[in-house]
Amino acid sequence: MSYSTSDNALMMQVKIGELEKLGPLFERYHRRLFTFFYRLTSRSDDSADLVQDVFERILKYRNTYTGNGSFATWIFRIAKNLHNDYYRRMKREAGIGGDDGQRCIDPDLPGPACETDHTDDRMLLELALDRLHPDKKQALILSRYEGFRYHEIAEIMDCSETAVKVRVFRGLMELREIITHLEKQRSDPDGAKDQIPG
Amino acid sequence: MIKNEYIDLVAGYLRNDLSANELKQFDTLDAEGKIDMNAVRELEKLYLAMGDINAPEPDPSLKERFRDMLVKEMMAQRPGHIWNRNLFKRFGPHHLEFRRFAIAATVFVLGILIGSIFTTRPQNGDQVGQLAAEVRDLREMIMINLLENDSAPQRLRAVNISREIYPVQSRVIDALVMTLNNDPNINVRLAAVDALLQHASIPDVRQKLVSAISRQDSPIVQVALADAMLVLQEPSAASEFKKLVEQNNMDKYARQKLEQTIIALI
Repeated sequence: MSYSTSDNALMMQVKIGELEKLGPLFERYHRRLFTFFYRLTSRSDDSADLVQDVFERILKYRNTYTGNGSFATWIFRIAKNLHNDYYRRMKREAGIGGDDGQRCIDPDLPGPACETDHTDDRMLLELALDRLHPDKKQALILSRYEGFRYHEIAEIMDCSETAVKVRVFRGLMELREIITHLEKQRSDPDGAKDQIPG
Repeated sequence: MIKNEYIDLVAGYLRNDLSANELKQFDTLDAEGKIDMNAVRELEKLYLAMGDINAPEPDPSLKERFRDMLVKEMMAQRPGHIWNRNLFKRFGPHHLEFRRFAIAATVFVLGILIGSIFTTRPQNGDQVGQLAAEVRDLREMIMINLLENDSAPQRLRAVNISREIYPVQSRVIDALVMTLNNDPNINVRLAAVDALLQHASIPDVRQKLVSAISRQDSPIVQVALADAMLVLQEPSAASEFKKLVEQNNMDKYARQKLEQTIIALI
């Protein structure tokens, strides 16, 4: 029995009422989901809440599970929808996207906490990624970190495979543009301040 | 600059997701200079650099929250708890009489408690809190006394009372663990597993459930503990189940169940 089939089999058992079978699925997926959410939100506490929400939603809608296709794409589709809701809520409450990119990286992580202190390329890349539109960011993260193929990402994101490829491509182009701008801003803080892309 | 018509191919190239035909097409376009390979390499470098971004490990409390949520959901889904199902099967046609008796007894006890609350007319929150503590102590006392009763239904009643004690004290947990390990009646032991599972967010309870595994000789209780450990995803239980599986006189079905549980836990 393959890993994926085993996931499906466990979920089918959850569907018929053997709820304890959700335990092994949680063990297999909670870290992946946490890092997926963390890369999208840069916040540990919100990522943990979102992982919990995924499993609550699985329990709530377990009857809708058909077993067709991969369990991984199904669970990540739930995760993607929850992140969309989260993003809309955050945008409404705190104005993400119109905040001039001043969001801080999780203070729990080692290293400097805010943009002005970031000096290495990895931090620049993280900040650039943070400024991408969620659609492009999700496509890039699912492709680069979660190892999904484009047709699977299309299933998760409920769009065509071509649309996913365009999002990945345009996402990378934008990342390059934002990084170039941030590098300029680092060397000339006053000159580049007014034209932050993303 | 990469033209829009080649985005599909370039994205496939970056993800190493091109078919043989697409790869051939990509190479041809590259050879003809129609794709800006410098731009592609720059994007590829960026795509690979994304791999350097790390994420922290989730906090262990995430697992605790999941366990609590799952246990709560399982309790909510049950038409009756384990002890109810087994006891009523055992009582056969007389189970309705027992249920009526249990309901009447509960109403009687509640009546006395409510009456005592209203007759004392608490003046403030402290008095209400004091009364709640007294009710809890009373329940604990009834429970512990009933657990010493010779009658299995009375001991089952005691285990059921433990579900109404909040916050649960260590002496209640200890009494339930002792029941699980020593009670001669299977239904009472099953009820104790179920009751302890309700308090599984307490690490000590999980540890005591794990320790109880190797002490069980009933296949039904062994399977109930296996189900409990699957809910709790307690890896330390695997070695305890192994001890049981290694015994020669094990029930065939229980052995199979425990072997599956060990695989799921490790």
